[in-house]
Amino acid sequence: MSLLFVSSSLAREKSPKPVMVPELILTGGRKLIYKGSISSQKQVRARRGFWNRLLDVVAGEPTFHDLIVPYDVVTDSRGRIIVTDPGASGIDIFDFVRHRFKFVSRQKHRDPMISPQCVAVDAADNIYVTDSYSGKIFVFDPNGDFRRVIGSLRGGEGYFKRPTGIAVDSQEQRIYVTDTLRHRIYVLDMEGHILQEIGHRGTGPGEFNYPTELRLQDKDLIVVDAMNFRVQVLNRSSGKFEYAIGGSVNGQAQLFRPKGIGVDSEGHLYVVEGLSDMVQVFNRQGQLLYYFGRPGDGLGEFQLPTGLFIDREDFVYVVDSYDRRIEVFQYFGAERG
Amino acid sequence: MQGKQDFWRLFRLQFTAVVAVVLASAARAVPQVTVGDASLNLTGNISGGYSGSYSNFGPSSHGIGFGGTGNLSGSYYNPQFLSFSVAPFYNQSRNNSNYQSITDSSGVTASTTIFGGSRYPGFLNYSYVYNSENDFLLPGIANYKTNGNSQTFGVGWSGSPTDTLGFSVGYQQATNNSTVYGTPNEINSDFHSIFGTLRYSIAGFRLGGGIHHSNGNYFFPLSLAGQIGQTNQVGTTTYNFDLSRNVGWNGSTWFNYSRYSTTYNTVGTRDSATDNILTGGVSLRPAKKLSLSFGADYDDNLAATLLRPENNLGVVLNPALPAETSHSWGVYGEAQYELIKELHFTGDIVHRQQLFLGESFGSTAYSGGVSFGRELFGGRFSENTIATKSDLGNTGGSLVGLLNNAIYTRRVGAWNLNGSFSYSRSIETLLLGYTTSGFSYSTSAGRRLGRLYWTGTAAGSKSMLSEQQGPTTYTQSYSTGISYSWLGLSGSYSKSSGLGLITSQGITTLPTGLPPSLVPSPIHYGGRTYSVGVGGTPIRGLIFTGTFASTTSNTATGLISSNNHTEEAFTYLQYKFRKVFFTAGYSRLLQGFSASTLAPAVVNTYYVGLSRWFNFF
Repeated sequence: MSLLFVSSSLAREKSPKPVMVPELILTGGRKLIYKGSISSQKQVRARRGFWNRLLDVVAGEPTFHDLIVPYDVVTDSRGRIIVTDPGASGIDIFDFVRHRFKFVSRQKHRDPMISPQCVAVDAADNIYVTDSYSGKIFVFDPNGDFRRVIGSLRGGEGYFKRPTGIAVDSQEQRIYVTDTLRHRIYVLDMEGHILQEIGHRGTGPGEFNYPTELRLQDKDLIVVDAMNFRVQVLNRSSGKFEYAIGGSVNGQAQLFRPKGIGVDSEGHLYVVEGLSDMVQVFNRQGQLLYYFGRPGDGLGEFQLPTGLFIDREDFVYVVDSYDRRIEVFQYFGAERG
Repeated sequence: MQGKQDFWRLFRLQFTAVVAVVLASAARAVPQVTVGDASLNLTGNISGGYSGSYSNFGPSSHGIGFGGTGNLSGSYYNPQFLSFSVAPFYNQSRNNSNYQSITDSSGVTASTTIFGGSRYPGFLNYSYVYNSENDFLLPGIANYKTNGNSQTFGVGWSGSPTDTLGFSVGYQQATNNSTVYGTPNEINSDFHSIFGTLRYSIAGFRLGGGIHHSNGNYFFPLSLAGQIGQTNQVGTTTYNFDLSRNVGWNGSTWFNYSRYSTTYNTVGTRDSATDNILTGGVSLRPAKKLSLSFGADYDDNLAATLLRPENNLGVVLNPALPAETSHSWGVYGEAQYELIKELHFTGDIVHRQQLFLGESFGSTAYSGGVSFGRELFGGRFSENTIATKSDLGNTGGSLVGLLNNAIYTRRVGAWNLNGSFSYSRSIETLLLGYTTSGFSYSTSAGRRLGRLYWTGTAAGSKSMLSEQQGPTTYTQSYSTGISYSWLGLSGSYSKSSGLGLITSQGITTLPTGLPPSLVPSPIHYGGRTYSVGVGGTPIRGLIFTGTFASTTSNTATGLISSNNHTEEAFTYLQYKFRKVFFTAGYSRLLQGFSASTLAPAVVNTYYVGLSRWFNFF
């Protein structure tokens, strides 16, 4: 439902060149449809009445907040789209249902949020943000008000060396966070106490070389193992290696610069491939099913894509970082297609 | 009663006109305009309000007024082919905009470039500013305020037909006429400059040459300079030729010839001087950590060379240059060695012979130095020391000189501390036998105290010429500021005194090492300034600021002395709602000179109004 507003705002966009809205027809009646893009607070606002339009003419339109360098994206149970923007040192909350927008930042002397990287929400829609620069995790309530910081040491330094990927298991009351420079995953309780450490530096199964993003899916913990050029799937409770996608297959790499990841309702794994500005879709056996996107600033094209998120309605959100926007697709599986 | 009705009728008419203009402008707003191959953007600001000006230094008035700014920019065919920008402004002052003028100032600035993306780029720029406030410089403390008009024009073209051949030509012109508030005298300056350069590379040699001619006419204020009709006209033509090429041991060798011809007309006396300067040398780097340099120079008219900084400033020169011939030659060698990272040793030897005012000077100077930087006590320390020993051949005496610089930076708990200190003693100037000594320091500290943040700075300097009684320049300045949430307070105090030269731009400090015998009319200056300020943003979109500064100073030449006083107060309030700005401002200037025939100037201005920013297309 929320994407209706994205699509209507898309209709108002002016593009410098003629474009074709991408629609991928896949086997078994499946398809992937481009729905629109999000780049500005302006797209959130409701239809303007006469007096508001008159005010716009006389006093000018308000100053809208635009995405600067978006990095990661997630949606919450209210259908809101939450985007981290390290370029603005904050996060943007787009609420297309209630026509509301909020930019959340924290520029305090104590524990400022400097470079928000990845974002996750819990079952109560609290927002968890990793700050790769300060080495901390910031927690905001659903309204965007600051609640607490995880990993802040007494002197103000961050405990984590470079926290990036983050996921929250509300049922088990666990926070999973990647520390890229320590080559491991930390499992924390909701207060930030370390319960478990998964992995260490290496190239073998269950070992990492600069891990970045992660996702929780059923019993799986899916981790982007960036410099091993693969995505590893672990058991989320034991941390045991299950299988990997990418790496070297018959001497040929399948993933070159893996970034954001997501899983659709049919269990397909979507991996952002930063080198060729596309999204690759694999099945659980690691077989490449199809890909979409290409370098460019047109509809369905990417330049330096980073984060990816798939919600329960199979809307696929891809952060198109250099083009300062979030591109939205919808996947229709076999039973719905 | 009838007059009141007329006023409100006029007010309604003018207000209706402003609203009509605003609505018409907003309704026509489109992103960009393309006309044929031309692409245009226009942004601007239209303002209207009630303003007043009460002064004993010019006309007083009050009433509804309009103003605005614009910025038309664009390109033709391609920005790399032709791009341009024109920015006019009308009735802008510090009370209603960011133009720092007490009075309503108007003007235009324009610039264009052609063939910017080619090997033959050219440019043209122009500016004209009318009725603006400017500064008449006073070293180390707040400047005197002036009011006047200025105009600049420049055009230039350069080319690189091949990688080995290049040229450039250009012309610059600037005129300025203004009046120091509180004096009846105009300051005029008119400056023209034309130049051409050529460079060529062949067989490993790099050749370059050029000609530059400038001509300036300057007229100084009577109340400070002390002479009626004290004008100065200076023309300088410079020819330059240089040759260089790379040699072994990662080195290079060079030769340079410059010829300066100067004509001047000071208070009706005309004279001219020409000096030829030859320099040459070689630089080598035989090892990664060792570099060597050797060179020689010859100047066939030392007096003219010493006078050139004064010429360039446009100051009043001696009615006639020294009749005696003068010359200078020297040879030098220098070595630099890096023992470890951030630890350098230098050593050099310079021998120089000079003939000046009929007297011969000779000197052989040896100097050695060390510079290093390192982390020290949790902070960063860097140090540079050079010691010099000079043997003066003609007197048999010797001088020991020292130059030292030290800088230390560190954070101590919640404190941020910075400090630097520099000391020099008996440092030789261009003219042998004249040395300078002095010191300078600067410190700053900052600390957070809960939600308060405090900063403080202190700086000072003193320099002396050995053949001059008392310090040549002496300055001190202190400032402090404190901020709390949306509110900030600041205060400063500065004190300055010394010997300077009067130019059309103001008083400048004496060029280092200039012999007193070549300074016919130096000006002694001294004074102190204190200022306080407050500013803040209590709510989103609302800003306010208020400042007050008071300066007392005195100036004295051999002809006239003056006690001077300048006071400035300024308050400004602005509230932004979308693209509309509600603005109110008040300024007050008081400036007087005891040597002036006028009473101190008092200028009060105020403004209340609104403005709207537009992105027209």
